[in-house]
Amino acid sequence: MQRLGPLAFVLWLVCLDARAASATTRYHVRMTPQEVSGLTTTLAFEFTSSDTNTNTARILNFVHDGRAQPATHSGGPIYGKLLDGANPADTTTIEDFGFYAEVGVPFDSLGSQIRFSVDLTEAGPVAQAPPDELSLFLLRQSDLTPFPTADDLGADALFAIDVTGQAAGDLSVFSPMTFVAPDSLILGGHIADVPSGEGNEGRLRFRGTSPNPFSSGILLTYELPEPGGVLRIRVYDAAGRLVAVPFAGKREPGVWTTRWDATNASGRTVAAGVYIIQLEMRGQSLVRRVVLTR
Amino acid sequence: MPTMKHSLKPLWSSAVIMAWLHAGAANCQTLSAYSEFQAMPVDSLRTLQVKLTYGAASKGKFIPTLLFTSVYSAPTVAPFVPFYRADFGYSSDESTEPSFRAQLSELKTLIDSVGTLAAVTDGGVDPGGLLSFSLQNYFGGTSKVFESILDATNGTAVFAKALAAFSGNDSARTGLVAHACALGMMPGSPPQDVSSSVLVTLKGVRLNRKTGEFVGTVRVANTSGSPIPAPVIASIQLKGGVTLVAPDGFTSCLVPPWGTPYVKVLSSGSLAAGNSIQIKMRLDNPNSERIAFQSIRVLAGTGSP
Repeated sequence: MQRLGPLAFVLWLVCLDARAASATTRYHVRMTPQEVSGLTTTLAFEFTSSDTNTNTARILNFVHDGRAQPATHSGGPIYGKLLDGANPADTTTIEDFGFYAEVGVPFDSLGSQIRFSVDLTEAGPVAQAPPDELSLFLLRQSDLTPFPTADDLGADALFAIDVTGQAAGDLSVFSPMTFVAPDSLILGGHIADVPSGEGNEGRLRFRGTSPNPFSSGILLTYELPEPGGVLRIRVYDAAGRLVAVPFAGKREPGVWTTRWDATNASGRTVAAGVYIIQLEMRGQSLVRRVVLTR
Repeated sequence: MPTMKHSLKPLWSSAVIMAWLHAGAANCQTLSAYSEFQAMPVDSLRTLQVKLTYGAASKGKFIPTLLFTSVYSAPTVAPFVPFYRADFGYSSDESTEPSFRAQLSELKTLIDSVGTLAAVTDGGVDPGGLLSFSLQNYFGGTSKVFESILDATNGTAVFAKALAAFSGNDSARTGLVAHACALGMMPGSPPQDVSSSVLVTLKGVRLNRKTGEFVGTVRVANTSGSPIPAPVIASIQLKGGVTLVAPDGFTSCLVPPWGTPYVKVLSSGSLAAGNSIQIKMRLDNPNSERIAFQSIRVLAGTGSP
């Protein structure tokens, strides 16, 4: 099995700035691979869409210092500078004119830094249609098979975002990629050693975060897939500081509700602002932002 | 000789005699008692054949004959022909369905379980009977054939026994269900349709590059105020050319539309009110069509899907 070797990617999720009116969510991402000389990979953006609206995933300001080839693509209309091999590439757009679209950026050698932003725009959800989804994969360039991750579906995505037509869709992160508040995703170690799926029988999901915005306390309702396991709920402030751990322990699968009373570990009331809720269990992380008002 | 059970038996016997006397019916031979097949050692069932023939093909409804044997033999109608009754239509035997093979233990179980149906093992002719249930085997140097002509009630009972005997043989069950449904003799009753008590959603659809299939998560949420008892299954039709990969089964005629693939959602216990369960779904989508449900039916509790 090919190993990535000692490796650390850092993906900076700088902003989950959402404009609800246009239902566009912008993600600023920076990846910092280390000690990966000789590694040939393909970074693949995958976009699936089952509703009938024309939605877009727009990759902006893609910059790297490695050796990359022109992007490959398949599926619906795709246009932009990544296809020309430009570096930097200002905009490459994937439209879900059809069901499946993909852009792959082959790297003969990963450099020390890759940066890009992604705008996800959806015209609105369609009733009865599965939500669109944007995923990121790291593939072996030789056969385009993915390095294994804890993706519950066995598809080995590094992260996946439901594009539901609502701002800031939930972000799912799969081990070995880990979420580090406020806006980092770190991928390190020997990625090929991670057992695909890690035995997860479903996806960690929020059922509700209510009320949001909130002023005194918020109820976090979430769904734990089979077979359950050790769950950690962490709350971070906008600067990425750990504020509270409303729950840490073993939980059976099912729907659970945990209340965070807007206090820190010392029991003191925290200031108004944006807080990041992270659920983590069996290699999956689920991230949602909530707003505390006073 | 098999014992008589109905008043038609003398008529049948007369017909046999009439046929026997008829020049063109020189192929009519003596049928064996069911007990002879029950007494056969398991190993001798290697050459056993079981035939289910719809006898009213001439009335415009054609249903190919279901003929199966053990994994050690090839099925053929020919050994049954000399035993044809003169007053039953065997034209369906001219077209036998591509069928399944059975393990010897399954055939033995079938014989023993049908052996509990006295109205079948008597080898008689039910009034209005339209289904020929026949066994044939070479034993003791001769070809032995048992036959009973069954009405819908007894035909349904035979299918119930057969489906139980082949509970671990998917291809056999598929063949038997198809035949039973075509005959209107599918045993059992459907599970309860709880579609109005649940919300079914599909999320997280992405390509599994190792298999070329698309994968997603189906979530079934109990939106009612009552628990939904297991087993819970979801029969799912998808639009276009998108199909489920490796469904847990296909619905019978008890759950129309017949032949719809279904997946098991919950095998034991119950789905509590307000609770939900997730299952992975594998989809074949060769043309990359948008994925959408054509119809979903969620069924729960005891019954045959």
